[in-house]
Amino acid sequence: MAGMSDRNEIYRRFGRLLTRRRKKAGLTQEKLAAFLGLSRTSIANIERGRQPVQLHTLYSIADALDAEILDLVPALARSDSALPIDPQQIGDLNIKEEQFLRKIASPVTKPKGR
Amino acid sequence: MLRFKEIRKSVGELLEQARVRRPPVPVEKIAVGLGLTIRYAPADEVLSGALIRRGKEVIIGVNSRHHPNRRRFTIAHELGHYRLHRGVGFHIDEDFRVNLRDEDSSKGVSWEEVEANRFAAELLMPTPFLFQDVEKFKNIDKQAVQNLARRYRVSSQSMEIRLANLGFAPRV
Repeated sequence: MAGMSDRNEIYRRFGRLLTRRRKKAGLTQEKLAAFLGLSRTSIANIERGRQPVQLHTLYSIADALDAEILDLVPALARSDSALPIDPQQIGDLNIKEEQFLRKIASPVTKPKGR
Repeated sequence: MLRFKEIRKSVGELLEQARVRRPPVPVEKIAVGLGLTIRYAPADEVLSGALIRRGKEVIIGVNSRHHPNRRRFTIAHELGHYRLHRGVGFHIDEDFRVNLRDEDSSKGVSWEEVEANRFAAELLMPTPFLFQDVEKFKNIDKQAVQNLARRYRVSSQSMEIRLANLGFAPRV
C-alpha cells in the first residue's frame, strides 16, 4: 500500500481524477455543484482533496459526469507491482487504467489467435 | 518544437529496414521486429493503448475491444512514442483524437501526442506510397478516401486527415 497510507493522499488523487473528468464532461464547478445540490466551494474543496466525499455523493458525481464509479477511483500504488511504477505517475490513474496496465504488463496474458 | 521532418525520416528508415514497399504497412510485424512485445487486453472505449518500458523489455498494450484499424493506429502511435520520446515506466494513451485538452498542454505532454500521431499517420500512410496512389484518382472524393482507407487499413477519418495534411483537400 505504499503511497496510499496517507488517507489525505487518496482524496487528493480522487480530486485530480474528478477535475479531469469534470473538464472532459465540459462542466464548470458551478454546474456540477448545482447538479449535486452542493456549493461551488464544496466542489472546489473536493477537487483539492480537502473534503472527503461520501459514497452516495460519489454515485451522484458519476451520474452527473456520465462516468462509472471506477473512472473516479484512484489506483493504488502497490509495491508488489509488476509495473515500473513511478508514484507520481500512478497518482493520475484510475483503477480501470491501472487494471489495463497490469494485464498488459503481466506475462501470463497471451493474445488469442494473433 | 514539432519535428515533422525527423519523423518522416525515421519512418522512412523503418520501412526501408522492414522492406515494406506497399500498403498495408504491417505495423505489428515492424514492432515485433524491433524487439517489442504487443499485448492485447480489453479496456474502456476511451483507452487506446499504453507503452511500458521495463528495463530492456518494451511492451505495447492495445485495447482489444477496438476495431482492427484502430488497433493498428494505436500500435503505430505507441511505436512513435517509443522511437521519438525518452521515458521510463509507463505511458498511457486515452483517445488520441480528444487528448489535446488544455490541462494536457499545461503538463507539457500534448506536443508528444501530436508527434506520436504524426508518426502513426506517416507509418500507416507513408508519404511516397500515398503520392503514388493518389494519382490513380481523378478526384479525391468520399469514394476515393474510402478506397484508400481500405487499401491502407486505416479508418476513413484517419485517411481524410492525412490527405488534407499532404495538401490533397478531399472534397467530401
